[in-house]
Amino acid sequence: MKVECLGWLMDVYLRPDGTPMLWLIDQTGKRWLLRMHLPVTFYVTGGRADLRQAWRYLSSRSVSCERQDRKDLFRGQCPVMAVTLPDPASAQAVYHDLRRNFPLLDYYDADLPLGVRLAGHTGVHLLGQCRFTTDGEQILMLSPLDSPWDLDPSAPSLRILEVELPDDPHLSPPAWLDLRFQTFRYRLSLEPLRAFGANLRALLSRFDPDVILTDYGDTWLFPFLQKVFPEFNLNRDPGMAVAVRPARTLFAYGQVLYRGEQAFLFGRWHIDRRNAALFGEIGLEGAMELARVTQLGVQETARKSPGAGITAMQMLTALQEGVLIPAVKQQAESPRTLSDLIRADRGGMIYQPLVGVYRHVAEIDFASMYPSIMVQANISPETLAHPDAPPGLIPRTLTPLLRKRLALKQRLQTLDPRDERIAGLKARQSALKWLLVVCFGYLGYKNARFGKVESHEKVTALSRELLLQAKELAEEQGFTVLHMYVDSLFVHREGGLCREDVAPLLEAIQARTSIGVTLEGIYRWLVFLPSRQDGRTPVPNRYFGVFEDGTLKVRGLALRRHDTCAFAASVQGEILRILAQAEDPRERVADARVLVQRELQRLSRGQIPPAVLKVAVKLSRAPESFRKPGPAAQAARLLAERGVAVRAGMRLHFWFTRQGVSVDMPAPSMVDVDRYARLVQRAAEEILQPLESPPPVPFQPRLLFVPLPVHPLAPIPEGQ
Amino acid sequence: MNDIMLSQSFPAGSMAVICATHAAADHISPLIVRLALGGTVQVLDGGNRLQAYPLTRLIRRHTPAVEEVSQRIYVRRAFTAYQMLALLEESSPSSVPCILLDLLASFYDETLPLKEAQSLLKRCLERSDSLRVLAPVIVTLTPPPTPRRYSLFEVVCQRADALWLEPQPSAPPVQFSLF
Repeated sequence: MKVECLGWLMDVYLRPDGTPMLWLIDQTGKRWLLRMHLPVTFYVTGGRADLRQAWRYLSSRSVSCERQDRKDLFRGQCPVMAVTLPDPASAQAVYHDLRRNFPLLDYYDADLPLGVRLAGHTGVHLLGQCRFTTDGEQILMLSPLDSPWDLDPSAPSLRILEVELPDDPHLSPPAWLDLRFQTFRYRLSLEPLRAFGANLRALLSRFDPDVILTDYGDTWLFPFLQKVFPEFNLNRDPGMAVAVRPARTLFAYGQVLYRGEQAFLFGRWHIDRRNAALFGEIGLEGAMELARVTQLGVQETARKSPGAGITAMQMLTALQEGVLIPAVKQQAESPRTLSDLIRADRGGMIYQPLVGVYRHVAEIDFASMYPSIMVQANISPETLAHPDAPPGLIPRTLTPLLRKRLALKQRLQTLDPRDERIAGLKARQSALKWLLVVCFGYLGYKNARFGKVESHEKVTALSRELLLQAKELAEEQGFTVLHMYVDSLFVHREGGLCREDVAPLLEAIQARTSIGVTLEGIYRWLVFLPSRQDGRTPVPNRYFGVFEDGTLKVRGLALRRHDTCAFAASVQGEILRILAQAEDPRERVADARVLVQRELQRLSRGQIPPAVLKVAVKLSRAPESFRKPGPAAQAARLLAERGVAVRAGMRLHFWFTRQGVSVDMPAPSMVDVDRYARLVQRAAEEILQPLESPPPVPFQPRLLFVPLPVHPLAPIPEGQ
Repeated sequence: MNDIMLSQSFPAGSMAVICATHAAADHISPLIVRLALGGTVQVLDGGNRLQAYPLTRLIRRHTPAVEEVSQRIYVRRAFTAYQMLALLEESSPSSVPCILLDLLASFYDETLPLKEAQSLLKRCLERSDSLRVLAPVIVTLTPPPTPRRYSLFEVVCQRADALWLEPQPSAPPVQFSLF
């Protein structure tokens, strides 16, 4: 019997037999798992002889092929061989087979995420509202009812089960699990195992959650459950097993990262809060927003870098517009000379700060500067050499994203601070911000399908020009520019500054650059810190200050670093709070010194709980490659001795004790007091020492014109 | 290593391979400058190894005509193995010496399946063979980070007419304990 429903598309995945499955929730709250027919076409181009052979090869396997003309982003319309398969899984198999046998051919639209394919095929996006008809087994009709760019998307009510552990299970095996579902609280003891298993099954069956939020679910709980109850299936779809992706270490964004093993569910979501890159900041609401606009599943968006989302968005734009999506990036850099490279390949503008203490400083930020430049200047790999070209693929992808984030920000500004919608809106706004942050880097990223490094360079070139224009405008209006950092500038004017004084400057910058600027705030005082090695050398983006409303802003200090122990960070925070009470921070240095002495005394008396002395350091290399084992390497060795698999990129927690490094929390009497005292003093001096020393002589290169006395030259005596 | 390399002549038709840490970036700069002082040189950078500013300073040590010489150094960068192949396929044989900086950097990428890397490298080397007909090709390499990718390194080294390998640092002397 056919049923027509209104509902939401929650997820899409492939069953092992290749059938695409859709998880939907209808308006009555009923959960549906339905099969869908989703034919897939991918395209092949290349040398004629190879293409003909590939055609014969496919024909012999009863795969349907036809000649078509499709649009390549760089070459325009070109003839291709279109290969159509009945479902995504068989398309993947044929693609890999073809690629193995015909490596010289170019492949397009061959490896797209399933959500992107579905959105391209039906117009229905993940988390989007839709109308569907079903016979109870299969989707017969599916159509969209909203757009991913709607500001107030409707969403079904989700059943969320939270699973918490008492401690890091890799260090000490837990005795129980805490489960939370709405107002219910359960503590399930892990012993006896049989009872634990029965209770867990009963709770899952009773609450039937849509989302399982865990701590260490990826790296401990799911592998543990798999080991002790191999037949226990946590999926809602009984035809699926839990999908486990292995742990890996990768190098990204200039640092070594470690991604633990990941456990994915089908028909419900599992998110491990300890193993999800952005989840701490954007939460479930943000992860859902990312899924909505990128078409990657919520379990993916919670764990993956936003770059994967930007790539998926570009793919969807291309798919919707009939542009071929290459399976691998092929466009290489155009040839240029060394001097051209030096001129072009520079980063964002940094104008070194003028070291010292300043009162009444305004911080002005360009709003989403790089993406705005990309949209306004139409920067896209295919439009680089064509200034008058219609909007390129990248600007077309980014425009709705920019608009939506701006609209969310504007709405946040209009809401009362007590409004309960603020947290959700902030999470969604923050999720979109991350997409915009990475979209620029992805222009030059090696694996971006549509990136080209020259477009990346063009964005930074324009940003430098815009920042210089802003600086000139500020100086024309009588401000002193203290510091500029990529998309923000700090301006100062003697004799006080208020918002009204800065408003004309904001308007002028916006009018000149056509990019939105915002006033981050006016600092009551702001301190630009010098280098630790040389008091005359300024350091970009290293400062602390207090806004007029008393809010502190800190960059580059110990308390912002992940490897600073909580105790040292809290002392630094306390110092800043003391200084923030004054009109000039130098007035309260003596009080701050008293605080530091008091904290050091508490430390020496053993009054500081060891929990706040825990140090977290990310292991930059494999433990065995350290020649001189530092504290992190020692901690790695200790963990390895316990059977913990330690890999590069992992964050290790340890304490400094009298015996060296310990990965177990020591007794207060065993703590290495001297070492922690040095850490605290160093953190304190980072702030206080520059306030006590006389202002350094600015180390700014200047041209000095010294008038020289003019004397008629006497003739040189002969013979000299 | 610098002196040895600078004293060498690289005849057309030859392929020299230099393997050292950081893809011999320090050693190759004087060679690029030497070649650029004599004429045009093409650098295909596979590992973002070209040090533009130090290279310019090095040119300045030899001649005040820095701009003129740096206009003779043509640079293209590849960030993936596919791009490296595209660069080589787009370069036509000429009398301009070609330097392939850190050729294998993107081939060592673990996200690129080994079979795919081997197939791409084979095509790259075939292409470099055609490039060296009229001018020398000089390749720099980094030792493979994992033994799994050693075969790629070996294939390139076997292709070389001249091969320089940086000696591995020997283990520090062990201090015997008294007790």
